[in-house]
Amino acid sequence: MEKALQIMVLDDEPIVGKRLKPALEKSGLEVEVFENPAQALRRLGEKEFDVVVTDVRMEDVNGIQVLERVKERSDRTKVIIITGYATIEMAREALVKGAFDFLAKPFKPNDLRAMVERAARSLEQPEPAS
Amino acid sequence: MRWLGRLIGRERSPALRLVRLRTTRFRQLLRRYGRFLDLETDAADKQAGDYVLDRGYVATLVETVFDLAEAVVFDLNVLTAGRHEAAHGVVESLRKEVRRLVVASRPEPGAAPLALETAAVPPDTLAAALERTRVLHRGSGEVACRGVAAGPVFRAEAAPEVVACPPGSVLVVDALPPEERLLEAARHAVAILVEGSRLASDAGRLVREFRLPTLVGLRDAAARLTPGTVVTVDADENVVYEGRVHELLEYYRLHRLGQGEEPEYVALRQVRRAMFPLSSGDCPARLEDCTAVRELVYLAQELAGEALIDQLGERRELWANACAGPSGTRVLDLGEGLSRDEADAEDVALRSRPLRALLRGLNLSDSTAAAPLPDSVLAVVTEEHATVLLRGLAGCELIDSFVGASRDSNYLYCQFAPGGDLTEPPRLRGRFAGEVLTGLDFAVTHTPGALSGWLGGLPQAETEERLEIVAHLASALHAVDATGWHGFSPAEQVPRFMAQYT
Repeated sequence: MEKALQIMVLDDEPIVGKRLKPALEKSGLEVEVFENPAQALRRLGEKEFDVVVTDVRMEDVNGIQVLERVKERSDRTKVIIITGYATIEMAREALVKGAFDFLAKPFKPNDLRAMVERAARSLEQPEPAS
Repeated sequence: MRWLGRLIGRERSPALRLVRLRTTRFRQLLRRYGRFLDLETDAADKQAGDYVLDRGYVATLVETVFDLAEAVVFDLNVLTAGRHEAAHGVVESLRKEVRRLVVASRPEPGAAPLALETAAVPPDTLAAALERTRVLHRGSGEVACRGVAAGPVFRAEAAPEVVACPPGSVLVVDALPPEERLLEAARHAVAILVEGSRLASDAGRLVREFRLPTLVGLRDAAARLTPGTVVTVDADENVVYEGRVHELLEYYRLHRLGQGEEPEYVALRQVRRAMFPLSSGDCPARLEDCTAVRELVYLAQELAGEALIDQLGERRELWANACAGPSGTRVLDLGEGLSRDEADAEDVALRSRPLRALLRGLNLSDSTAAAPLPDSVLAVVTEEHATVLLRGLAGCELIDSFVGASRDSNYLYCQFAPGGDLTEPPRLRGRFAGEVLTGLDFAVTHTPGALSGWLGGLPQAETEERLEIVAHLASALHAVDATGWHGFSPAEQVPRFMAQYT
């Protein structure tokens, strides 16, 4: 049996994890949810995720720092940035730094699911020869 | 087009400049009013629970709503030479109250983090179960209330049958029944599936209060729901499965605990109640008495329309040299609304797109419509914009429309007298107009002195088409004013009127 895709969801707003976990698990994905960025960063040191979904603006640690930490550990991991109204510029910066895509709140769980599916497809494709 | 006879001089007299300033200011007010209505609709859509949102959305909604209210009041004061300055204070006072709700919705510092239970059903087991289950409906329509439930289908063909819904059933209806029957059904049904696409706001509120998973707009899919067949409704995903999907139900037994009570949705519900209360049908007559921002903005647009009617309609000297059109129409051109033949100065063509559409509508004839009364139509126009006053037995009414190439700029606004004086049964006129406008997808608001309709964002051709229909509606209202409203039945006349356009 093929191993389920490993997803991390990080957002300090509880509703995000609460809504996204069931939506993604219904597609057969394994999902770990974090509200605390420090805990999430520790977990990133322990385990390689296929896709990391992170809010861009949180207290203490922001999504850009999470992106950088993920890319240090594994360039293969796809990072999806979720953002509120006021942080679109920061999300663009994240794209420049290697984020896979970004999604503005409010959004429907299906929107994110479609984005995760795209990320999964891109994981299956071989890296272009440099 | 010789019927356009004499044309007012194109010179920019002070009076004409003032007219331009006022109609432009009113247009600006209407655009802000339209944006306010859009936000109100958007917030109601988000409240249905289908979105992942955060407190940032709620805080931004509140600030944007009050910024618009402030701007609408500012425009009103420009139009009325500062007659409603005190309303600025009302906006600020209401803003402070709603801001307090947003602040109070923040979690206490050090609050326990989210504890998500470990699913009794592993994700791969759940996904496999869903994969092998037959789907009876997916995706089309809308979620009115999230949740998951299963039970046998009970189909109610008519509203009275709803009360016979057996306990534990999935109720399937053409449209949600009236409130009292819905309450009865809510005691027995575990989920509701609605074939039609319209959900009255009260019905939406009720199903959410009862936490009844509800999907609307199933259309043809409802035919596949045989009475007695067991189905599982997943109103999180807008899907109906055949049979009882035990894995999904077990999964949600854990994860649905506390659903709809997320602090973000509680905050949204509280600020919506404060800003857009359901009871705002009885809008106060003075801005100072408004207790919700919706009342205040609705009333401000009515007062602005009345001010414009006074300023344009009551100034005879303004219209003395206006161009004369058909059926007593008089036209003031503020630029490119009319064009004159180079060879014959008397031969004037009407270029204003909204006024042309409006005149087409006024000249329609049917059993209820009549030609407008002589001297009853006054229009201030440019090529893309028209502000039109219609004077009749009910008083002076207003239609204002912008019709250009960009759909984002296009809108159609109308303000009709609601009726309801001693010579007319209560507000039949307003009910008739309101139901027609609702059927045409207008946002309809009721205030003490007017019934108003707003529609924006349509392409040019569609805006012109609606404008024709609204002009025809105005004509029909004037015709009934002449014969009397006693015995008039909106229930019969609205479908008859609408049938001409379907």
